[in-house]
Amino acid sequence: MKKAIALEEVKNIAKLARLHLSKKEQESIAGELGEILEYVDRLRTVSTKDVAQYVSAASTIAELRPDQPDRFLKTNHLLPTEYFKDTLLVTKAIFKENSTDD
Amino acid sequence: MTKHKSLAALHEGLLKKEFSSVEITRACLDAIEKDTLNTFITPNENALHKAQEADEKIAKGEASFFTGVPLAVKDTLVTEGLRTTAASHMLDTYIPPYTATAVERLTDKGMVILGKTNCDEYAMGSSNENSAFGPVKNPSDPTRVPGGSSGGSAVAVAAGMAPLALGSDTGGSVRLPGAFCGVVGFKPTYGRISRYGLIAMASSLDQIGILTHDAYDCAATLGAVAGWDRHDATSSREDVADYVAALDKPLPKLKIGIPKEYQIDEAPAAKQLMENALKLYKGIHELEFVEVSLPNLIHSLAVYYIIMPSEVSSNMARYDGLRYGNRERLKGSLEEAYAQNRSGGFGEETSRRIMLGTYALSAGYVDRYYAQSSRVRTLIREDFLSAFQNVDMMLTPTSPTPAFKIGEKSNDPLLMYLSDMYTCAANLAGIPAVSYPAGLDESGLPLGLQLMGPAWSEEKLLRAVNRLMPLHEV
Repeated sequence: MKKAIALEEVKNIAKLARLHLSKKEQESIAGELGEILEYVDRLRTVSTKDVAQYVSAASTIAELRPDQPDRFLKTNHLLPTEYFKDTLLVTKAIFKENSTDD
Repeated sequence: MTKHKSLAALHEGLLKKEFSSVEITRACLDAIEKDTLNTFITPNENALHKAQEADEKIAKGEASFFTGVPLAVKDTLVTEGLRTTAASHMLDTYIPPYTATAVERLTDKGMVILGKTNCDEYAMGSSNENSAFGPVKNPSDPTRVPGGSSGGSAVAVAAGMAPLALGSDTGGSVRLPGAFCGVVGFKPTYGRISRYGLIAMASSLDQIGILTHDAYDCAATLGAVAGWDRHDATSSREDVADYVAALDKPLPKLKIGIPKEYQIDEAPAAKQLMENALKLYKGIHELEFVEVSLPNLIHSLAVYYIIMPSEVSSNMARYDGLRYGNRERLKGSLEEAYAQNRSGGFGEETSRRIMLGTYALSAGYVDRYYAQSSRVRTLIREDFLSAFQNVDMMLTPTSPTPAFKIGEKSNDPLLMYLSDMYTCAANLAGIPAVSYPAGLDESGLPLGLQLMGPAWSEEKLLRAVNRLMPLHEV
């Protein structure tokens, strides 16, 4: 592998990464990435046939909390206090009093 | 007043009214104000008020071990109402609405946050030269780096601005600054400390770490912050031991492995450090040193520098100026606006890692780079599991060199990345590791040694540090 990666490739990657790079930055990063990837390419020599990809060191992954409702109390982080009554957001009523669902 | 005082001495002094929390907090804030090492990004203006509250608790007899003791917090840990920048222009006005669990567990016990410490941007770096707020300098020699990325936290402790500090460690970011600054730098097992409120860099590797003067302070802090947290699905329900009580017990017989793959001629300073340490430890009858082999250990750095930037590129995607972060004057299309916001907010190293990660995850290369790295990571973890069948822990250098000059490696990313060669394997395997001070080199620069143990061996590691570290003190 050559040391620098192609400038066209740098431009494509920058587009995917949503980064704006100047011409000088593109040239610099082409060389740096090329050098790093050349170093990393040594991993191709490691035999990984039948080796699973790493998942996590955590003993549990994405353990879900009990399915119980939990009231959000830090309303002051959302809007000034006058918008709330007993931690509930006050909105314009959309049901008439004594209305029933059909 | 707090300079090099242990937490126990500070606690005792506060209870005996030798000094108040306001007095020690003011002394720390004065030191921070006079600091010339660029250690803090944002001092906490509310610190004295909190110290006053702590003094009131002490007066009422309601003090915990931590009440009134000052604390420095790395600026990658969010703190409610206190600016948190991750050392990036991207977040330079961000005031978080909540506090990280690890920090909250200490403030709930009455600790006083002194401020937010400088670090590499989003914790990406080995030297603390990548901060948008300028580099941090090493207290032993201000022309040198303090190590990164938690450089500010290590300097705060080493220079006596704070008795303890929290940092974060993704590939050595607590241990390397610990070694460069001559303090203990501790990274626990993955899941031991909740990551809730830690601004994510590489989520499968990130852990919150602790920087202190000795094993006792580290043990006390770990006991306070460790444990399951409903806000972090990867935090563990494993019991939290009484780490401090464990230090008072006699050291058990320990078999310590010396990885043969780390004995390399290309790092002569590290090789010499290991030889000297083994001579020094020779007479300790509880310890047996044996050579071990972890064949895939030599691939750690290459694996790390694919897995980490891949996760970085994903975690950094949210900073587009619309969802989070810096917003430039919007011009052109939405895509152009995203690119302007991101390029205006991110520094050079962050952009480099995003580019590298995006490359490694792109359709044409994902199998060659990310998938292969992930498989080799499995092999590295298996190597550790196998080695820990025969030894209790492993001893290695923390860094290939002592603290290097500011600017010495900043134009050569690959050379800089080699700084993590001994530390990143513990993050890849999710195991605990600690760097402890191991004396000074001929120039007076601190040296560090690292112990790595199997998952949940924190207690044993700290007991070993408590036994070995004093042997290096002159």
